[in-house]
Amino acid sequence: MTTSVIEMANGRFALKLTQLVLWVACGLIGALIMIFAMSLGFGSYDMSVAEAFRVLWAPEEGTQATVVWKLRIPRFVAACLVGAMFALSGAMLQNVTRNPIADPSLVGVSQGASLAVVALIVLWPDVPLGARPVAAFAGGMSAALLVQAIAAGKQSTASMRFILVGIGVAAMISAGTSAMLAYGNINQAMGALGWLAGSVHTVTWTTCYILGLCFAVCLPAVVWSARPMAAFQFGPEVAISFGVRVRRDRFLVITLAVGLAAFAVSAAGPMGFIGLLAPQLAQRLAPSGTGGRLVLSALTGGVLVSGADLIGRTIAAPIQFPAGLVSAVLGVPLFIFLIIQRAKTSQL
Amino acid sequence: MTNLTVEDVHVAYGATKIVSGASLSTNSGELTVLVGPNGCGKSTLLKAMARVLPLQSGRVRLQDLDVHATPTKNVAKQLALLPQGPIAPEGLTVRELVSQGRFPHQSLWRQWSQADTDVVERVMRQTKVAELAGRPIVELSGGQRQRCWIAMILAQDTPVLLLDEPTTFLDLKVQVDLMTLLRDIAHTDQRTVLVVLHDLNVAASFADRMIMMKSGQIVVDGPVSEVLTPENLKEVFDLSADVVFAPETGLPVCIPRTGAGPVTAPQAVAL
Repeated sequence: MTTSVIEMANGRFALKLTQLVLWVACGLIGALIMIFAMSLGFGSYDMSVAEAFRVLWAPEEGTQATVVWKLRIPRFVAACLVGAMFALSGAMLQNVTRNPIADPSLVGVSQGASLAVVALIVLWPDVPLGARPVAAFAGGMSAALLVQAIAAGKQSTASMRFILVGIGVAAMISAGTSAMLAYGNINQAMGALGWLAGSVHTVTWTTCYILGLCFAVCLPAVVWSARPMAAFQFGPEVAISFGVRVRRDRFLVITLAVGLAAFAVSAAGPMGFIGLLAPQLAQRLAPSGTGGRLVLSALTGGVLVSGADLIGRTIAAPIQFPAGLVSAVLGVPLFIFLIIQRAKTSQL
Repeated sequence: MTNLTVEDVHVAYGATKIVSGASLSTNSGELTVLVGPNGCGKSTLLKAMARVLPLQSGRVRLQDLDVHATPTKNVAKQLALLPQGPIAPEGLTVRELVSQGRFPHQSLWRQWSQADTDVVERVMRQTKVAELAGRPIVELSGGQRQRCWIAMILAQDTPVLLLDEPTTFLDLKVQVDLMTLLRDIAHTDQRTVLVVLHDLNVAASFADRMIMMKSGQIVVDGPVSEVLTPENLKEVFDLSADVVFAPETGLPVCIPRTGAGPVTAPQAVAL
C-alpha cells in the first residue's frame, strides 16, 4: 500500500495516510452527494431532482420550497449526522474493548439513553426538545458506568466480560423502557414507540441544530481520540509502554463514545447495528490506521443511514420504513457477504 | 549509560502478595535474564518495572527518574516493554507494526518524520525483517513475528528494553536466533536488555547475568557460571540436576536427574 505523508510547516505538521483511504473517502463523499440529490427529489410529494435543485438555488415560496427546505434537507442532514455519530461510537467501543462486535446498542448505552428519553416523553411531555440530548447522555452514561463498574474486576480490560455485562444491563434497561410504555399514557406511549423504531422522518431544523451542536462539541475530542486509540489496539500493556495514560484515556474514549451514541439516540431513536456495521465496512473498504478508520467510519455511517432513509421512504411510498429497519435489512446481508469473502484472511 | 534500579519493590494483586522486597540493578551493554519457577513473580516484577502494575512500596529508578512518578510519556522514551504473547491488529503489515514503535516520539500534529523512517528502516534491517516489510503479520511464522515485535520495541529507540518470555512456543533454532539478536542489541548498541525466560539452558547460553527468583523474592543474582549451580537449582526450582560444561564453548548446561539411575557405558552399547 502506498503511504503518503502530507507535510506542512517544515515537518512540524505531518499526517500519514494511505492513498486507498483517500480514494475511498472521496468515493463515500461522492455517494453522499448522490444520496443528497436523490433525497431532495424523491418522496411522497412528486417533483424531479432538477426541480428540487431549482428551489434549492432560488429560494421561493410554495409547496416545493417547503418540502425541500423544511422536510427533506433537515432529514438528510440529521441522517448523516446520526449515522456518523453511531459509527464513531461503534468504532471507539470496538477499539477500547478490542472486540469487533462492540456496539452502543449491544453494551447498554443506547438502551440507557432510550430509557431516559422515553421517560421524558411519557412522564414529562412538556419538557422542550433540547433537554433530550442531556437526558440521553445521562441515561447512556449511567448505563456505561454501571457496566464498567460490574465488569471491572482484577482484569479491568477483559473485553468479553464488558460485552457480557453490557448485554445483561441492556436487557434490564429495555425491560424498564417496556414497562414505561405499557403503563404510560397511551398517546405519549405511541409517540415514544415511533421514536424507538429508529427513524429520522420526524426531524425538524431544531433537531438538526441540536444534533449539529452536539457533534461540533464532540469533534475536537474525536480528533484527539485517534492517538490513544492507535496505542489501545495493541493491548493495554503495549499502550502503557508507549506512554499512554491508559486508565484515564480509556475512560475518556468510552465517555466520548457514550456521548456520541446518546446524542444520536436523542435525535433519531436507538438505531441498532450502525455502530457495528459502519466501522467494519470501513475497515474492509480500506484497511487503515485509527485516524483514517474514524474518518471512513463516520462517512460510511452517514451513507448507510441517509441511504437507508432514502430507500425506506421511496420503496413503498407513501409507507415510510424507518431508516434503522432498512439499514439492518440491507446492511446485514452485505456484512455477511464481506465476512464470507474475507473468511480466509480475516479473524472475524 | 542508563541503569535500571529496583529498590525493595513490593507488588500485590488485591490481597495476594506477588513480589515481596525485590531489589536489583541492570547495566548498559548487558543481557540479563530473570528466571524462576512458574508463579514466582518474575513476570509481575517485570510489569511493575515497566509501570504496567503499580507498586505497593519501593521504587523503580531509571538513572535519576522515578519510573512510577515521572510523566509516562517521558518514561516511554527511555524504557520499552514487550509483553508476553502480544496480539497485532488484523491486517497490519510488518512495516506498519514496526512503525508503531515510534509512537512516543510522535504527536497528533506530527505523525511522521524523516527520523522515524530512518529508525524504522534501520531496525528492520537489524532484526532481518526488512524483506518482509510489506507482508501482513498474520502470514508470518512465529519466529518471524517475534522478530517484528522486537523490531517494534527497538523502533521506540530506548536505552532500556524489557521482554517477557519472548521465545515461548518457538523451536530451539528460532529461540537461539532471537537470543543472539537480543545479545547483539545489548552488546553492540550498549543497551540494557532484561529478559524473563523459562528455558534455563537457553538463558545460560546467552545471558551475561542471571537472576533467580522464588516466591516473590530474588534468591541469587550474578554471572551465569556462579548462579547456575546444582545447589541453586535445588533451592529455587526444587530440581535435582547436574550442571556440566559444554566441551566446545565451556558454557554451563543443566541436565535434570531423571531418577532412572546412572546408565553405564556397556548397557548403553547393548541397547
